[in-house]
Amino acid sequence: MDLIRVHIEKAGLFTSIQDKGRDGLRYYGIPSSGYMDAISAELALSIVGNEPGSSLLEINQLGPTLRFETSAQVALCGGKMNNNYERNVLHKIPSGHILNIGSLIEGMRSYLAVRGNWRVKHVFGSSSVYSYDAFSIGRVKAGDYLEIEKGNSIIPTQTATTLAIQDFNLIDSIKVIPGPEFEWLNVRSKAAFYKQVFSISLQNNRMGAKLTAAPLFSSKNEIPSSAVFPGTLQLLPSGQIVILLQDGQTTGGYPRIGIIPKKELWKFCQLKAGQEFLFKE
Amino acid sequence: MLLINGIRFKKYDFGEHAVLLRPVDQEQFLPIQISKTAEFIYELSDPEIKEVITGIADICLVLENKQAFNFKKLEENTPSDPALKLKLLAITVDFSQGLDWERVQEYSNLDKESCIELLINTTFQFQMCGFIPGFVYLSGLPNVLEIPRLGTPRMKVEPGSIGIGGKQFGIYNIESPGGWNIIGKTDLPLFNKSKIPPLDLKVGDKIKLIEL
Repeated sequence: MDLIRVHIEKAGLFTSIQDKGRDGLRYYGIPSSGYMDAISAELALSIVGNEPGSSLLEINQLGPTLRFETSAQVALCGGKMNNNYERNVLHKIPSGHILNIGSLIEGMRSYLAVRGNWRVKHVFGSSSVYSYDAFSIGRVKAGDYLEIEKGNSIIPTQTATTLAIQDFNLIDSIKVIPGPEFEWLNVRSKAAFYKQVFSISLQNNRMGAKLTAAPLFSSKNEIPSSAVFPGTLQLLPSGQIVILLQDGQTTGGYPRIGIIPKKELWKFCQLKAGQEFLFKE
Repeated sequence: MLLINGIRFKKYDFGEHAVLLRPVDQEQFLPIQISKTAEFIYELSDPEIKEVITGIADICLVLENKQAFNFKKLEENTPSDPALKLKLLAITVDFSQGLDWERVQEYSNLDKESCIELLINTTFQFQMCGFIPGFVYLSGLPNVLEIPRLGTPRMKVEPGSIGIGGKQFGIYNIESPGGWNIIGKTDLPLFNKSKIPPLDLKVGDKIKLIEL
């Protein structure tokens, strides 16, 4: 089997291997994990012709530097990084080439897919790194190698001409469905929820994101621990909102005032800290 | 209205794919009875049910197709008598590794030795797993040992740590941040990340703590 070897020269910030994540195990407290922006990740996988839902690199503010010991075909999708590689198209990387992904200049997360079958550790059916690293699938670190088997069970590569590049800076609204405790908000807070401008604070990671806005008020501050999902809006006793994300806990004790539909969540995951948006029904 | 495992539930919507099942008469049922019903639904392994999440006072189901799901089929099966299969598990605890004994003594008005005696004389029951991977909730905490959570959670709690969080009692099985009062540590691994199910406990299984 021909093997593509990619040496991680520099890991960047929180670079991790992700796939579609884990299903059916929330009963045991096991979160979904998996790529945060499913649209961009799936696009990258389809451009290189890999299976939908398979492994790729999720890249944050500062991307990794990769040395390709073998030639490879790659695609970069999602947030724009300051490098010379056009997004959303197939690139051929020659053997010995050093790919410096650079730092993020638009959006929050970028994805690098490499054509082939990734040799990665699976825990509970997924190669996705989970924030606490409870599953001992470490984050990508300098000195590691990515090993990818060429060919085999690969579907033909797709050109992404029909998919326009998203300008993530233009995202200004996020759809939300009222949650089980939405009615606990007082009249003024209910109205404010759809009117006031929100932004993501610096307290945001793969587990969740705290929003910045004037506080909302609810009749009660707590619920007996009950299910929460990626996209669930929890109202903290301070009146601030935390949105749980891919690595978030499976149950929580704060009122759930809303939930961002699964299909809309990628958009939220590309909002930068400070970027303003409205919630819409 | 649904009658499952002798409990009458009402359905509530939660987003596009999930429903919450809450007992009509909340006060009448113990969390462990809700957990047992959740376990029963989970063990149906119905392909149309994508996730089952046990809450303290409800059960959440994530469904493949909520509109088309036949809830009545949950009523058609009844679980076998759970009491027949319960097992007893002894967990050795090193109480000297408790980090919050000062708080526990202050809130309970008991000295450490009396608290430990209370704990080792209690028969706990496995209630549910959840929150974070492998976190084990045990029911049966004596009222006097209900201690409020820490004002500021610890950044790191070691796996095996045993804690009190308000009315809840449980065991951390992975390293994570945590706000519960840690009273000791066990070496017994309850969570196995290389198999499904990752846990060999059934709701209602009896658990005794043994002092190291």
